[in-house]
Amino acid sequence: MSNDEYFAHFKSQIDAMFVRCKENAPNFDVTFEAFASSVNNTLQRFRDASAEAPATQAESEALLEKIHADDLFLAIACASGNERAWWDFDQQYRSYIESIAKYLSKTEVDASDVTEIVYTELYGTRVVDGARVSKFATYSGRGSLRGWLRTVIWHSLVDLHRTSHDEVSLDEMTENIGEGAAHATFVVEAPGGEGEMMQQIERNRYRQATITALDSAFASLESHEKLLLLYYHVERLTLNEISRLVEPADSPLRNWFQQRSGKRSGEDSTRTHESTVMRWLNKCYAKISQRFRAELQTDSGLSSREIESCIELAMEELSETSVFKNLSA
Amino acid sequence: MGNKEQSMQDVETQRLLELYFAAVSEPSSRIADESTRHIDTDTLAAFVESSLSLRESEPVVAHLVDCGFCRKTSAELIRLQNEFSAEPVRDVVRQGESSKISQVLSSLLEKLLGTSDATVFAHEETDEEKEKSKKEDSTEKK
Repeated sequence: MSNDEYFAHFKSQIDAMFVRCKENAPNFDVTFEAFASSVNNTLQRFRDASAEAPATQAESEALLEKIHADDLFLAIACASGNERAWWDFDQQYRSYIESIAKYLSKTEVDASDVTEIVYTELYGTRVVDGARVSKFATYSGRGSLRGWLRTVIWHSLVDLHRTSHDEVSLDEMTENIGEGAAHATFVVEAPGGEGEMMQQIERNRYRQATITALDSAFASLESHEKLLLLYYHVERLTLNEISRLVEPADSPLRNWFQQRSGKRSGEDSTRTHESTVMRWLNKCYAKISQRFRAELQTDSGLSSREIESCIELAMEELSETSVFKNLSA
Repeated sequence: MGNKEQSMQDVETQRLLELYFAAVSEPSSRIADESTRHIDTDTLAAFVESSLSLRESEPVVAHLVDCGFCRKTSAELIRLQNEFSAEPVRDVVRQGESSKISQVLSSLLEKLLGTSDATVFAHEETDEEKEKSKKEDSTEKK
């Protein structure tokens, strides 16, 4: 199906969305062309999201139903500089933006700076081909305008932080598990006498086997399982926070976990409790444990006793500070 | 394997993972690397609200596993969402006075951009509004 045919199929649905928005905000001066262009871009991105399986018409129709049309209408009007839209936006969102800026910033001055930066970015100071580029033009209506603003504020705060610090350590802003994991090794101490040297060689063998097995066990998980573990253990999201993330019935994370446990997508519309998230985590632990032990047994050829030694050694050495060295630079 | 034994093994695995993650996430690089492509604002915001479909989420989740910066951002956004979920949406107070709106927005832009940008909004005024503004101006002068 050509692009034109694809978009033509949804024209009446987009038309109906536009009419509703126009009724709600008649003074925004948004044209149907501008509105349809934005929605069509979203449809295009949606269709191209997976090269393996292009979106079906039913999926695209469902996507259109979920678009926050009034938020999108407001954003398009603000992007084009409509004063009534800016007035409405300022009335509805200024205090929200200020609250978040205050919550995230260390000082009142920082909060005020962030609010100003956000407004400037939203309005747009960069001019490309004679047209002002407003940040609003990047909003698609896939999520709420509030959620989008939270992200814009967060990024503004990070940018503000970066301009005032030449280097931002990963401790402060981020971690990079994928990079680090590939280069992790245990500390290797210098051996003493011959007996000690033999013991050291054996320990080093166990160390290497343990690291390889841990890397391999983590790599064997599916992406959503890895993300759950990383959110819980690295980003320190609580069970409550994760359960609220997966609360919507059509949450992709929730559906992946439910599919694996035999439930159909969207079948269980009740609230996802913390105990459910804990159950998912336990399944991940069981998978890792199984894979970890199997890897040590088959690939490294270790006996059950040696595997227990590996685990003891890992516990003992990983507990010490800086046990992993030579991480990627 | 008995429940007790499984439970002990889970705790052991949990501990092992904790230590493993802590060790491999030591500061190892700087985020000043501009060459890294991150998830765009719109997609990340929609993901945190669970607004993306399964097919759209797949590449996002895969990226979040590998990219510490985007994952950290998404985690902070999840916290923010929970923190501000109860914040009420403000109603727009319709005052029906375009000149006031222009004044407010012009002063806002002046503050933000450092220039008087009243002209940005002036083109939006209808003839009727322009006439009204003129009258207001002349009244003020008197």
